[in-house]
Amino acid sequence: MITLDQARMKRITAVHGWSSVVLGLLLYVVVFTGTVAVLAHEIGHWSVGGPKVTAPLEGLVDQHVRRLSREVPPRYHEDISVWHDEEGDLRIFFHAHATHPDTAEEADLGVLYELDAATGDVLARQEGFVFDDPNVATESALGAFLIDIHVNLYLGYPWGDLLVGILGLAMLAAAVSGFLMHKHLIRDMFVAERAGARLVSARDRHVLASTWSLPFAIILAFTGAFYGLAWTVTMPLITEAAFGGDEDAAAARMWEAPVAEDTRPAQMANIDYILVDSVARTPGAVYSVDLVNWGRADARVIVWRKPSDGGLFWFAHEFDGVTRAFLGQKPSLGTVPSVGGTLYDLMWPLHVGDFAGWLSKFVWVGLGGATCFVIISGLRLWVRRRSEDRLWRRYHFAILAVGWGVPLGMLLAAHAFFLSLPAGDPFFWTPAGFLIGAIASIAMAARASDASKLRRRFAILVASMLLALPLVRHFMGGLSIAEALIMSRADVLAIEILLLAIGSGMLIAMTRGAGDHRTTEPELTNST
Amino acid sequence: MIARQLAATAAAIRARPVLARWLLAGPGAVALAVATVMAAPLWLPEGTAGIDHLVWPLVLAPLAWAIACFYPLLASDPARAAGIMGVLTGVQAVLIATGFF
Repeated sequence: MITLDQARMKRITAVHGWSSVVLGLLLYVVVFTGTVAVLAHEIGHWSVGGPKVTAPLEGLVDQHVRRLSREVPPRYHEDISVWHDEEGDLRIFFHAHATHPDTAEEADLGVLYELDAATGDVLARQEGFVFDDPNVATESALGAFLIDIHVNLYLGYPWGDLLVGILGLAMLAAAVSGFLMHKHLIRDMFVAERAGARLVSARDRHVLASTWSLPFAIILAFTGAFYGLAWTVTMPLITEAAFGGDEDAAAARMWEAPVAEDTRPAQMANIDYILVDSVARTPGAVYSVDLVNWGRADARVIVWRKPSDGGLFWFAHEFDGVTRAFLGQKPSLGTVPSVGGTLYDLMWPLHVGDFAGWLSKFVWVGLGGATCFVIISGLRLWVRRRSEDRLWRRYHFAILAVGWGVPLGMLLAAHAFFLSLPAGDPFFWTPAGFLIGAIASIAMAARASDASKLRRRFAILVASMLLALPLVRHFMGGLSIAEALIMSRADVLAIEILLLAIGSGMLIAMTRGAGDHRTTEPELTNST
Repeated sequence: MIARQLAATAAAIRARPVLARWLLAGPGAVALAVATVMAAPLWLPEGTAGIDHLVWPLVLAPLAWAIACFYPLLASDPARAAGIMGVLTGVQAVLIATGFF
């Protein structure tokens, strides 16, 4: 253990406290939404899950692409993306890259088809800058909302990302200083709560949770700061220093130098054979396919793959689009595997826990929840020690408003999503639901004078909304539990069980807590 | 003359240790981290794919900031910390300005 003298400990404690107090509430919003966003894909799938099952991309892709390619202008053959959406339909997007008149930035312009994966029937066709319409860009407004609010707090790129990156640095400062403050790291992992000693007990809970989640908090803070700052600050700085500000030269080096152009017409290889070839080389599911320069001699087929069994990283197989020749496994950065590329690839599984299926995701959710508790308990500890100051007593109500307001807002967002499905505007109502929940929480905290009663009110509201969510989903046309069981829909069952377990667990805890002396700690009041 | 100037600066820093440490751990750490991230591509090896010198500073930028932030807080002498951080930032700024090669 690192032993600090008194002067150093005082400085590190000041950094730990102030970095948390100044940015702690915003940090809590990012960590809580991130904890839920770990399951964003599964929640998105659960929220739109109908009777169709999303299969890995395989078989009969070729005939659909060839048929539809004759219906779209050849300029959109530059790039063709093929994937299965969360509703189980096949999406084929013929597009080129053009300057968007509204943003003056390069965007995808083309024709997007939505097909019934089984019959090949065209269900929908959109043309233009199709991703301007969020209904087209994303299958689940709820899944998209969970990601957007975590990634940039709904403030958009680049400012939202930048703010989240700075919050990541604040979390890194709090976590590293917290590590340095631990005098007995191993003993703190097994500290027992001391009944009756209110302040010591609250501190013990904070120390216990923080000790167990410390390595995770440091990883999360580091990778989160990386994602927030990488494209907003760090890469522009590197581009300026190494390439004199030439973004195209930097992009060519980081990703892949363009293939030598050959515009001669050519007969394309069968995509279905290429998919089979890719799976034969590395068993597992295909996520999506990119067809570059379709119909030309320089055509390339890039098969994007999820991590294989026991693998950590996403990867891609690259094939010649004319000869079907395998050109190699395409790393995410550079043209050949490298230490730098591996380091970069490592950031994603470390940040989202997406490397061992449900197990690693649930571990990440659990440790994310512990980190949320550490933030809130640390802030409450800070306020308790300054309870004689009126300003800090008000801050305690702000902690309650944010601490309960974020889960309440997210639950209201989910309810609003399902309830607005018949009206067809969930992309408006999902964030609106969150906003309503946030405003209601602030109003409740502003009017409250007794923190204990306020906390109970919040807990009842959150537990009720958790328990009601599966019912609302079911009544708005989602799969029933019986149907989900028959169809082995693990995503529907897992999310539903999670909601019911947390909701009923909260109600049980509240019922028991009423007669438990440990939870009847005197609360701060707002009366003076 | 220069030695006397440096000694006076060090004495001024030691006279206000709290302010000096906050400045070093705040804007000083940001300046050093930015200089390190920008200078690293100029001296790091490119690696097999020719990208290592770009990716290492890209990924490790938060670590560079964390080290630069905690060093002045843990250093026993703020004047020495200011000297080391100042030299590191200055040398790397010169590297960036001259393009190294």
